[in-house]
Amino acid sequence: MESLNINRHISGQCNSELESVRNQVMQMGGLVYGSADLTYDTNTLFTTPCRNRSKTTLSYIMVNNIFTIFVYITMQLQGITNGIFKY
Amino acid sequence: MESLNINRHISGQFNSELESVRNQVMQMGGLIEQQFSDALTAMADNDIELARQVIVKDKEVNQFESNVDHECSRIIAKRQPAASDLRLILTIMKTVTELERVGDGVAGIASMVIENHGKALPSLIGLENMGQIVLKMLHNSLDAFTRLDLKAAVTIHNEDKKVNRQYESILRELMTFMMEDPRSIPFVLKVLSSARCIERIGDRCQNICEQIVYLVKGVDVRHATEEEINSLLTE
Repeated sequence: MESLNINRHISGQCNSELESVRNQVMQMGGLVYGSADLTYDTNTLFTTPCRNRSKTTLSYIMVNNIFTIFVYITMQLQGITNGIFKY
Repeated sequence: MESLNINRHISGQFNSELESVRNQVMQMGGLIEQQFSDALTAMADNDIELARQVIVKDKEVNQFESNVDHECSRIIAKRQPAASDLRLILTIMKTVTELERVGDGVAGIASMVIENHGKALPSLIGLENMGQIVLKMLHNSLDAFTRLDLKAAVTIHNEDKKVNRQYESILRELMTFMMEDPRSIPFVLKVLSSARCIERIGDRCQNICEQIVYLVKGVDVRHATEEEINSLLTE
């Protein structure tokens, strides 16, 4: 695992700014992940196989790339909201 | 129309670097506009050869994104831009990402044309109309970016509501078609996904306009209400 030495600047303020912005991304990721989980649970009411497939896919992507999760979940949420709940 | 004085640096090299990266975005925009227009023509004429060309050319769009992003990173590292220069670089980086996603959407439409070739489909006139409206939105967004036209950007931003209404109407039409003939569901779902691609392209044009507002005014309007965005014109 790489560390990128983001805590090795002469300015301590720079270190903490970088750390803070990184933490905010992780918090945002956690928030979106939590919301998606809730949505998928609601989705069980309609289709169980679909829910299982989505969760497996989601876990797989999470290990690989957190940004892919953002895109994936956004698309899923939009699809679910527009396609299922509306009609 | 704003000029942002991007050609007023002490270093002439910096001027030309900014100008070059801006020109690349415009070239990329032109290419995507052409791709979108071709995809809509392919859909209207059921022309799978044109659809295939659109998919092949998507690689060129992806390459543009990588090149522009790389160039922007290089400028940030080498020149440490500030104020309007920094906003220009940030705007360009976000705009090329949006444009690349537009390119993916266009490739999605082209795939639908190929996959649904020869199948009995519902009338696609509504979809074509929506496509033409979004194509015009894309053209105007790129134009607003070139001219740094705040007023045009706000106007285009407000136009997306019209596209959303059309999308909902197409959705209802396709749902009716699926209920009438359940055998057509697999094909109609592909048409539905194309409609979604076009609607998303409209949203991406809206995002590009938000970036133009940020570039010109220095105000982040990404999640602002329509009233808040409109009020910028009167300031």
